[in-house]
Amino acid sequence: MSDSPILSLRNTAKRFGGTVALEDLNLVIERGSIHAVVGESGAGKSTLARMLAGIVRPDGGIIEFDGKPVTIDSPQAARKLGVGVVLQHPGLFMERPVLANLFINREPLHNGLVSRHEMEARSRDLLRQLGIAIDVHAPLHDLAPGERQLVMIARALLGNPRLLILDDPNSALDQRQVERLVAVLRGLRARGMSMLYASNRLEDTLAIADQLTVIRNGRDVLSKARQDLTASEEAMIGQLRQSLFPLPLRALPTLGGALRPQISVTGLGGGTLSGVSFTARTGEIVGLAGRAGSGIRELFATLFGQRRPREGKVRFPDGDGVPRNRTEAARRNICMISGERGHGLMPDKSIAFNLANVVVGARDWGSRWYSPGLAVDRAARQIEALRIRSTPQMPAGSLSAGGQQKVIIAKWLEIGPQVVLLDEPARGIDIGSKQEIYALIRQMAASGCVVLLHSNELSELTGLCDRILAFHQGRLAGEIAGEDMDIGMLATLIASGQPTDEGLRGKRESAA
Amino acid sequence: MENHSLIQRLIARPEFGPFVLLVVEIAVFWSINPDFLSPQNISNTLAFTVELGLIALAMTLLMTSGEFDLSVGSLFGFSPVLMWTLFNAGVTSLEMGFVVALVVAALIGLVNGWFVTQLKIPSFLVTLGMLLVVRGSALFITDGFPQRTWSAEGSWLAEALVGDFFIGPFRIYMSLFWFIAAAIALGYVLTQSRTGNWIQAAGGNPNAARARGVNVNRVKVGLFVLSSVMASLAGVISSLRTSAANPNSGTGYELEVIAMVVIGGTALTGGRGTIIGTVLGILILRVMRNGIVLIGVPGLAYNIFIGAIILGMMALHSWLERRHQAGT
Repeated sequence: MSDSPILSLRNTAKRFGGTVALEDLNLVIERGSIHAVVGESGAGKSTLARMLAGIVRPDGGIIEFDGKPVTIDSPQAARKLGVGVVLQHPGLFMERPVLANLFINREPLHNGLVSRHEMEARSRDLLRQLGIAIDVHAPLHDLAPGERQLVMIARALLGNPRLLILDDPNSALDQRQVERLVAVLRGLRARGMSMLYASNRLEDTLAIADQLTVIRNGRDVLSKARQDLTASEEAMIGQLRQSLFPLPLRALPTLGGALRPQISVTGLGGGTLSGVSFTARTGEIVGLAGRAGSGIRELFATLFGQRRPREGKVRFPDGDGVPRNRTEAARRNICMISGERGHGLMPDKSIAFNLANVVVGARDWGSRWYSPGLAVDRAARQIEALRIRSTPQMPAGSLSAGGQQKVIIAKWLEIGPQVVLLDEPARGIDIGSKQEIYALIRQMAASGCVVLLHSNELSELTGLCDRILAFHQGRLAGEIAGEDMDIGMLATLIASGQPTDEGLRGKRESAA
Repeated sequence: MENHSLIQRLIARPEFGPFVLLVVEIAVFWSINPDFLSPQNISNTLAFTVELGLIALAMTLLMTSGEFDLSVGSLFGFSPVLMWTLFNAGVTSLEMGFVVALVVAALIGLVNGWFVTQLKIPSFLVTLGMLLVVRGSALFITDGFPQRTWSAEGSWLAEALVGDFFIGPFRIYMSLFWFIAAAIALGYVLTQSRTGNWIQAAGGNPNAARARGVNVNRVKVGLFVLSSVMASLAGVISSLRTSAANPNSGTGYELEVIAMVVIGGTALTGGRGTIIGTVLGILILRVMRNGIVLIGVPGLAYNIFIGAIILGMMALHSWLERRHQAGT
């Protein structure tokens, strides 16, 4: 009994409409161990976590908890089993105080009323261990993103779960907070708690895991104990991601050196941004790396005319400064492609209509009017070129996430972009579409666009970009290129704003 | 130092804005017309204020959960009409009629809640439909005529709900105590109980609430029932006090009640609500209506002031919010 694994999944499957999230997934978590699940985003990690939390139900397969088959059909069922969950999508209440967030639906009662005193007492030690020094009565929106994430982790831990599911728990944490978290998790493991740690950052995961399962397209492709992992297998895990990225295409050779048109940004400030300067030439893909709050979103909004800069100058390839609004941006062939679901697409309208809406509004040639016939021709051409599996008349919302993203890219290709701002263009889509979109990005650069690519997936940046600019709290923290492009180094840079650990330590001392 | 931070904490409370507004308002009216604070005027103002107030208290909870109810004004008119019709026709005793009216109101709330949570229709549309259905029923039952109500004298129900007595020069109705009791009870529910946490969670982030096992639908249905029952109770109280059951009474109250709640600081989008704020909001609007007449502004201009106050409060609110966000 006690040597049976705490959790075992067999042949688990889950699909959402036409998208397969999990397919024949097998996973065994031993008692008192940290089991890492690694995979690209879109590989099925979050679905797995949500399934074990009782938020989505599996279509098939067997879940055994403690050696007994179970169905987790509601959050309550998960809680009864002793499963605690930290999900990726914020499950927090921004208006409510920290304490209310920690204890929602688990409030200790005293004479029928919620006992503030007991909530404070029960959370104090845990918050200190996690290194959160905050006013527990302050509303959550007063906290920094990293602190909020720790609150969410603390909330799961307060339930004293037997199995803790962590879905990408450190995405908003800085280096110091990650170290704290790892220490706390190790302490819990020593006390017998089992953990599932899902992440797409292989390096962090290898440091903490006892076992490791790699999943791809909703299947487990490798499952091993950490110490049995050979160097070649480690390399293979790394390479699974490399194969995603197409080989670089050489830019047009005729445009040489400094004469190539470029974007130059000098001393740009506004919002969280301050003193940002860089240049990006046509034909190259420049990566922008940074965590939430690093200012990259603001930078894109400024370049796309949605935000007024407070200071600094920007020169676009056409010789002018920042556009005043989005329409002007589109007319000047500056385009913005965001991976945020629901951005830039009218899901109820046809693909043809969606493909037309930028070009008809932005072009200064031809008719100003929308012509259904032309739109259908245009759509047919793009559907062919980008291999979108649909017809022009179908609503855009009927496509898969990858297909929708291709429509967004296609509508900008229609205006012949000069500057392409990509904000996580391949987020949450299947591997096949990802590959195609990566190839498209390469093509755009090779055909003479200035491409700026922002992504939270560092492997995406190192796989695609010619050089990467790292942002930290609104400032440009450093630039890496060529041989130096290393995910670990990049992660340190964006987490601390300093290139090395020594720098980090120095900064901490000066801050203290 | 301690004192300083106490003041700062008071200022930071969401109820601070409405409180200042109420104080200023009372001071202005009083300085223009000292009769404004006469016992008789205060008694008169309070009598009707608490009736609308009962609805506003329930509405606060409902709006905190992210929904609202436009059918309360109709119920305010419908319930006394139903009660008096049953009584006058000799079908039931007055007490039984009262219970039937509340039960019917609860069922109406249940239907509202069912449409909103099960059919996923926005509460705006559902309760707008219900507003018309209920008002239409009231008019149909009565052929549009007010019901006879004079036989309520001496009934213990009337005494318990609106029995009046004098405290010094103030004429106080029992309904004031019901209102105070309801305000304290609902204030505790909202801020100190698990139910209150569910309500705020359901309005603030429904998906997260579900993920934590909160039964969001049940919370909302319960609050729709509460809102309907309170509106019905308020209607009955009002009809007993004024000895009138007019099928048209309560027209437009739904918007006035929502305005009270919003001025008090409850978010129109849900997730944040305050009973103290609502009490202040109730007083602000009722004092305004009373004071405007006393200082000689034509009563018909009342709505201009109400509208201006709502706009002003919202402007202040969004300004504070933006300043807050810029600060972090």
